[in-house]
Amino acid sequence: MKRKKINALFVLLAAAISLLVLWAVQRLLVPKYMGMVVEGNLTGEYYKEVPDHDVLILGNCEAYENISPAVLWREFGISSYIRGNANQLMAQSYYLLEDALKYEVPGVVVLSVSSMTNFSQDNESYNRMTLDGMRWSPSKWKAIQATKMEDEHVIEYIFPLLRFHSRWKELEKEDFTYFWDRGTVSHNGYYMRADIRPAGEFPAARRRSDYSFDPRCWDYLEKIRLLCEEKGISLILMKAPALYPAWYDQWDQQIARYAADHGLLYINCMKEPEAIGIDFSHDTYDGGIHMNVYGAEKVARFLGPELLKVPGVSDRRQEEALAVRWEEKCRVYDEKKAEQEEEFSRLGYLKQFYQGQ
Amino acid sequence: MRKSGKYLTAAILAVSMAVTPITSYGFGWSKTEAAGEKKEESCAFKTGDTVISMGAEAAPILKALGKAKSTFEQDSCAYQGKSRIYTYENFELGTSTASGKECVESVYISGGSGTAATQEGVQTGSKKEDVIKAYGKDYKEDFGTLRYTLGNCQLSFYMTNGAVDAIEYVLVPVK
Repeated sequence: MKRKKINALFVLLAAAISLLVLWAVQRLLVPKYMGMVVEGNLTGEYYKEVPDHDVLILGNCEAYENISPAVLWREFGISSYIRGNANQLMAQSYYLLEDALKYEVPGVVVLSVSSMTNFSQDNESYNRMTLDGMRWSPSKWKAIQATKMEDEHVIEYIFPLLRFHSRWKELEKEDFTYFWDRGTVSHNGYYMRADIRPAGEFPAARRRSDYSFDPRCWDYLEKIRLLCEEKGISLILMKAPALYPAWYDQWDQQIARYAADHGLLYINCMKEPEAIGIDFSHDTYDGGIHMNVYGAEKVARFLGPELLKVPGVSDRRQEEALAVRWEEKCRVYDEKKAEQEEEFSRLGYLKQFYQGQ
Repeated sequence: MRKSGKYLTAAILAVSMAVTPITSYGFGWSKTEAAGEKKEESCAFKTGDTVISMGAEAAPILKALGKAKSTFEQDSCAYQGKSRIYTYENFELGTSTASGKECVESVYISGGSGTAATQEGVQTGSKKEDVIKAYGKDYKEDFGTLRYTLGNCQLSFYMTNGAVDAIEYVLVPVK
């Protein structure tokens, strides 16, 4: 009997060691996203937050690069978080909202509508960046099912080692440095860039035969609207300021019509350049495609008064605990901004994002 | 063999067996292998002596074409690739770069592109009957656009009032 117990313990120990080894190998081989590409950390960083945001912002790069939560707090007392990621699809925005609502119910959701232009993913990397950081839940399962590409397999999301095993040939110093902890790369989901590349010329917008959005994008927009309605959340649709790719008038009209039909506010920042004060010779880091920090702060200043008009959103700068948390966030934000400004002024580029051109 | 040795051997085997199947299973799913590459016929745009096929490596084509009137470059979201559009006298050439290789993704001829024409002689201003005569009836028509798919190339003729006002070659996945 005693021998049997010892045998059983030994087997359990062997199994535990095996699992530990597998876990450690997996943790080593998954990408850390701490170099030029940091977006892979954005989804997971949300869970480090104290869930107390009045505004959640959803969308692709037009969401996470174009609005400064630090300015929304500092100048309007609005606590916000951006749940955005590279090429984040409408379906993914829906499931990330569903996920966030397990932790908090904001007064407003701001949804960037640029991802209405395509339902399907065009690069597996974007799915991994958006979905790997989600905590396992029915929302994550459904997000994977809805957006995985043809050659993606759910089991590779359950066991990322199956997907990233070949990275053993590409391991870098950062894989070891950030084995345990990666810190935080965003500022409440905002991706900061303090470099400047003025907007130049763009190719003329190409003709399209069909300006309709994919019906599946409409389905998920409607799901987001209904979920917000169910939870008493105000939904605001937003098109960020971007000179390229083209946001056709036909697309704009469809969104405007949807917003009017459902009593939603739709803000197309491209129609408000003077009100926002965007200067495309200064406020963009990539020639007019995305805002840099100066542009993102202007967009936040433009949105702030609109957000304060919404019931449930108020200036909370007098709430001590919240103010203390945001003071620290703003300190880190200011520090990073100063660091990037100094580097850009000295080198003419930011080392972390420089591609050697 | 003593029992402790047997147990140690069993433990080592357990760890090895746990690790090996996972990695060998994973090795069978290489993401870098192209799934069944087929040699397919494709439509191509010709300008002078230079033939531009969809998916072709861009470097020799760009060299043959000479300096473009303008070049626009855009990093894909999170630096997952780079897209460029080269504007020439009467057409635009679009490329994308992934894994370090720049390949042709599109050619676009618009109404303001002068006399650029397809190899089959269709150009802006041609009528729908001219397109069908040149390319046949195996097309799909959406919102007045005639679309032909040949291998990895989709050739679209955008029509307004019965006449072609833009032509586009686009790289598409082979089905």
